[in-house]
Amino acid sequence: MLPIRVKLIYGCLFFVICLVLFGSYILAKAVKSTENNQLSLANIEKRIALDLTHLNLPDDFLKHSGSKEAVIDYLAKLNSQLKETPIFVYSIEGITEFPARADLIEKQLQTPQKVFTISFVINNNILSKNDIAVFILVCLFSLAISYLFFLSERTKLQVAKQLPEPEPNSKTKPILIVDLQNKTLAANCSPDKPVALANKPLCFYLALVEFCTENPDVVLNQNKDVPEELLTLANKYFYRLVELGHTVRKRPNFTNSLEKTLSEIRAALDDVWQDQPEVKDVYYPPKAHGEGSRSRLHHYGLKNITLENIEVIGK
Amino acid sequence: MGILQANKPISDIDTFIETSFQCDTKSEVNLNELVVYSSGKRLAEDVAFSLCQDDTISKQYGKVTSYWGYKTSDTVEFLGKGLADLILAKENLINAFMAESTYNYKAVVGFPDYTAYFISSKEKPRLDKSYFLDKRIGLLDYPTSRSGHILPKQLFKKLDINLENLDITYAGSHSELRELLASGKVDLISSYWQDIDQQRFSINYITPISDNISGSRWYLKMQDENTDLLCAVQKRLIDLAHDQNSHYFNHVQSFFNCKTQHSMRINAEVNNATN
Repeated sequence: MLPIRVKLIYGCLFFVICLVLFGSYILAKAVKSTENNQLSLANIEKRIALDLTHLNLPDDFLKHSGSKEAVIDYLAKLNSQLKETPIFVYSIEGITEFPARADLIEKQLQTPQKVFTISFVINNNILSKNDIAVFILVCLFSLAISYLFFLSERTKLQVAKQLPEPEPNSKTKPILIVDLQNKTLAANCSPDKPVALANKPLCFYLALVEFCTENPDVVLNQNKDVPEELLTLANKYFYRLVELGHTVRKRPNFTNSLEKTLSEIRAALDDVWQDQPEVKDVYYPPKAHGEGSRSRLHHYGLKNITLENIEVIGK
Repeated sequence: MGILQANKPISDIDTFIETSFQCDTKSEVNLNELVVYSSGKRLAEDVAFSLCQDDTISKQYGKVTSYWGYKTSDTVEFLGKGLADLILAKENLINAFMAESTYNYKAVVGFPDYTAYFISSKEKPRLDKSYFLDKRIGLLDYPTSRSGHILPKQLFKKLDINLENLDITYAGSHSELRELLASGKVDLISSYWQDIDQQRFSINYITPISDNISGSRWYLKMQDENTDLLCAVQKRLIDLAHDQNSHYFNHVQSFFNCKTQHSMRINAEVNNATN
């Protein structure tokens, strides 16, 4: 089901199209009718003007009484010819058989001797039977137009829905960006806030990430020696830093002060993910808690990390 | 679409006022046309229709066109210019245009002489000056009428009444005059008396103005001694008059003795034969 708001919008659209179409129809009809009525009126006037000499009209100057019946008979015959038009001749010189009415249009016919007054009635019925058919047609047409609009809008919406969907995945999924050239860590959602990290923790962290993705089953315990493979990886990253010209000092000993190195890493990650602390767990080398913190079971490796969670620039 | 649905303008309206009626005689190939002029549409049609059926007229004419007048001036035009072959006219008009000598119009049939009366609804009108001065009087508006226009005005002149001082209402016909009197819009009217008037007015309340007014007559233009045509027209007009419901029109009078003409001719032929 469509929401009421959408229904209302398309209902309004339908009414507006109806109104505009039917309005313009009625307007065109009214304008043309008025124009044609004027033409008809001119033709009727012409007929009466030509017939004036044969009309037995009263004439005060000639003391002629005229014949009311003859004039009424003439009016009846004339009006029978005007059935197709909305006009009828109401009176000539005030002689009529119709009841009095106010909506008369008076015209004067000037002859050299006299001015004759003729009055007409125009039945301006703007709405006729045919208009109902036209109205239905207009309604159907408006309905079709509104439906087409609806269809095109829906397609647009669907296209719009389908397109942006993959975007938020890539956008919302936080990634840690490690820049070897600047020696910084940053979140992809706020790359303008990089956090600098010293050579030793940086190299060790990258080595730890790589080691954990390749050997997820190995438990790293502070009471044991750091595995050779991890050290090799750390050294490799350190040489890379040397290549990039960040240091001329000799290679640090990654096995010394391991706890301090991990703390520096954690501090940097805290800064990077301060807006999204829930993401931090993936990247955070776990701390040892409580009394058994030095127990053999503690593992400072990254259990859930994959290569997709991290992007290394300048590797 | 709105423009298509608009009221259509009416194109030229055909003329629908009729001024004449035309019919073909039995010999349609004949191009000659008999022109008739009379006072009203009904009469004009009846006369034309009757003449078209006639054998003698069919021998001489291909069609009969019958005009009727809308105005007094139409009668003047037709009579004064001799346009009609057969015309219904009053003697005074024929005399005014000297139509008998100018165009050889000969009277064929005529309706009886009649008397003009002042007719009132409440009392018998008196023919003196004081009587008329405070009365509303109904007269006919066409000046060729004797009983309804000329004679009453002559009487007023004779009584030395200025027309300006009289309250005169004009009507278009004798029947309209009777309507005026019956509805009380006038006190007296000037007209002829007919039997049917007894139904609305009293014969005791009429006063004659002048008698022996000659009735209307049918005149035929006789440029040749075309007596066959004269007799045929006369017979047709007499038949038509007899068909009328009015006692007055039934008493039609013929002005040419077709029977003696016919018998004279036969006698002459017999004489020639015996000689």
